[in-house]
Amino acid sequence: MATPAPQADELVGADRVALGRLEAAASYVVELLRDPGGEIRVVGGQLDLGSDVVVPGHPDDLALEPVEGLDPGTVWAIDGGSCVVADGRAFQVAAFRAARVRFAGGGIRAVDAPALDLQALSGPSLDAAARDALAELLGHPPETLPELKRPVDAFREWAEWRTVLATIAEAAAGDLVLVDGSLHGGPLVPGDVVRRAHALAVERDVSLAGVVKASTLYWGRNAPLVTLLKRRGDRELGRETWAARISTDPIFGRLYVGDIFVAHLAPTAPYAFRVDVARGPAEPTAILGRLAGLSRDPAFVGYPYPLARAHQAARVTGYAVADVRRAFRAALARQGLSDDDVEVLFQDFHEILNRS
Amino acid sequence: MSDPLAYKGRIFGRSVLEAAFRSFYGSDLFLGELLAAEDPDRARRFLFRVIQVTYGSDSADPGWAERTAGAYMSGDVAGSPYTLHDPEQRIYKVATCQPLGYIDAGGAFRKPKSLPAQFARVTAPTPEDFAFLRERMGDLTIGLLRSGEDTIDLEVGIRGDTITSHVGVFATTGMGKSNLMKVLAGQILASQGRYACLLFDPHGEYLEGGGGLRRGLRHHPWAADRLKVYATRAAGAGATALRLALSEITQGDLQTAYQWSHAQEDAIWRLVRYYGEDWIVTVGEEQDVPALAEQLSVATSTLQVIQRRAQRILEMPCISRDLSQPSLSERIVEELTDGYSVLVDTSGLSWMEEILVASVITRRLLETYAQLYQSDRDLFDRLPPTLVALEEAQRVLARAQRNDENVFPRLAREGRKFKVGLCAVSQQPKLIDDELLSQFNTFFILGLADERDRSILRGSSKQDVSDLGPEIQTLMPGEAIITNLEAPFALPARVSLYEEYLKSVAGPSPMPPVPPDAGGGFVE
Repeated sequence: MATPAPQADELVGADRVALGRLEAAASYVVELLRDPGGEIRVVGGQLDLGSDVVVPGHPDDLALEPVEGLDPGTVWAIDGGSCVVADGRAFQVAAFRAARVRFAGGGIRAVDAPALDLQALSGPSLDAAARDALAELLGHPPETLPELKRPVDAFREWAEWRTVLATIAEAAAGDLVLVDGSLHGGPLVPGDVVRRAHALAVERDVSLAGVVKASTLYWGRNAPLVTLLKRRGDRELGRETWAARISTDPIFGRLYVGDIFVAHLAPTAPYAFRVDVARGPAEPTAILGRLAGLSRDPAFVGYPYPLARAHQAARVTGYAVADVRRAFRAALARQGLSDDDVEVLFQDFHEILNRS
Repeated sequence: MSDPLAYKGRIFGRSVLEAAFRSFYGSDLFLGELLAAEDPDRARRFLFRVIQVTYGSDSADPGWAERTAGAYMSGDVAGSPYTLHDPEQRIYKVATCQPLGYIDAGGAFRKPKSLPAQFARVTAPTPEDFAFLRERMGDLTIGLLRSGEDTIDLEVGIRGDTITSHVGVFATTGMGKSNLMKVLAGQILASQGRYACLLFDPHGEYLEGGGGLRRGLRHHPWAADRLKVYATRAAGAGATALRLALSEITQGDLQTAYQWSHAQEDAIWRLVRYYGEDWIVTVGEEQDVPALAEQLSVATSTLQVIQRRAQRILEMPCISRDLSQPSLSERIVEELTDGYSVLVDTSGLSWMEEILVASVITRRLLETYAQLYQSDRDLFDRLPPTLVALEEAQRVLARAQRNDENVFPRLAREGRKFKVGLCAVSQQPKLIDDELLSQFNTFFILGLADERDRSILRGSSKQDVSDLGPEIQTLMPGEAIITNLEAPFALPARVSLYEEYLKSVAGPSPMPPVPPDAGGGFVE
């Protein structure tokens, strides 16, 4: 059999790319944006449906309504941070925490950044820990357990929602509680947890909203809806603060605790965000106005400042990860594990391959 | 903490010779500010001077500040200004400091040879932190210790006996030279004869104050008792008309005051050879210059220059060729030896004539003291250390002026031995011969804009001022840095305003009141 003639590759920096593949990929993206299709899609797994929610719609049909910045009042913001301390393949040691801040009178008045919680998890113990965590969040034992591909993410999100529930219970009437992420629940957080938090918020006259940094709202053939609306807003409105209500279809009203918006929260913000506003004591326009009032910090233009501070309070930096890992190894040694055993336990052949 | 304003931050680095500390965003830190850091473990208290201040942030992104500034600007352009929330929680200041030394457990000051404790608390210093300076500050105080733009309640100055090791006062116009000189001279007056000062006053401002509400040495409480005033022009009853003998003027004085070409110097040498002490009169009054030139075998044009200068000297009202009228230079020197200060108002003279006068009197002073040093050590020992102060001293101390006949370089080199010091006041120290500048043990450095001026002082200062360039550059009028051998480090000072200083000077005790029955005459 004749050997096929070798194709010329493209030299890209120090490596090569198969001939024509760069152009093909770029062409796909350009075409996707030019002709994305005709419906709006909320990615499957949300809303407890197990499949995508698809409603007819076109981004050009969504109204971009101006948003007037308002006095934010008292705002609570919650975010989580985590890292894998040790990955033994069969088991994992995860560190996580949820932090919150309270914003009032134009500045952060309190920062709660608890110590990292550590969980060593595998098989049955992972299931038991998940069951306990979800039982606490739901107020009753869960009927099923989600698939935990990355347990550290689950424990972080559960910690966040525990803090959300506690914060709503602590907040005063009129306060706004901000969550990092959407208000739809998801594969790890059952929708009942969100609904429980929502019910508590309504009961206490507290507003609840979520801001999503990486949205899974898509249009048509998976064109990113937030990006498309931001581009439209820039072209049509210029430097303005605006919001577009996405959840115009009645199906959202039946399935969701509130409304979904794409919002551009500061005139010169380089980003727009998906913002979920739960039905509650205040109109969504008022909540969006408060969020716009919070999004005028020059270091985080267009993003609610308390959420940025909550993120900073929760995050586990690279230095902290190294410290925790070192401390964990020391704890293993104190409990009798030899250095060689520690090395064998945590060795990762990928690292050797990558270093070679 | 008792005084939250005193708490400045915590040290985080960097070396024995350079410290850095983090401060609050709202802390107002100044170049030259003095600070203290506690090291309780070793019972030491470190002293620092701020030499640079920058911003810092906790952001891991090195471009955070630039990006944030850009976001601010975008908001401004869009007519939608943004506001940084909680700046105190997010940004801060970093001060780089020059360690000055530390006070050990026994209260002794030591040079910086070790690190302060990492993360040591930095606070504003207290007057007690600088108590060790009191004994080093001497009796000629000129103001208060300065910390940034504030002062610490500690008087700073120099020891009177160090004025013979020469004093430099350097500043650009308007930075407070004259005020400092008045305060310094005022302190010498107030010493009541312990020290003496010969002050050449080219603008009359030292004596009268310089107009307006300014006060001069004439207004000093001790002026009537300790100040003698001479004027080269009619100056009323407050001053004696200065009179110097023509015969006193030497070739060295002329070389100091005027620039001479080699041909001119040669011609003067020939004139002296032919006419002796009368050469100035001869050439000044000569009607036939070409004939005289031919007689001397010099060029006519050369002799014409000499004649013009000789005529100008002969026309000076303070120069007398009448041998029956003794020169007052001797009297001036006697007054100085008696502990009086002498001010010579030269405001009517050109700057060359002023130097000529200063040269004659200074030479006489130096020679008298030198002679006493050799002939009568007991009397010499009782002489008050004497300071000769000259404005625009670069005129006589420049490298180009270096010659054996110039009395001022000689004074800078030999004066200390004979108890005579030179106070060189100059706006342009860069023009002063650096070899001479190294003879000056005390510098008063006020604001200097020219880097070359600061550079020459860095090389000659008796304290390391290499890190103080920005501070010197930003000194305000009246702010100074003092360097000398007695100070443990370059001292920041705020010079007293002369008018305020006068209020603090206790003058001579008034005569006791006349007893009620004194009018009755002697009791039989």
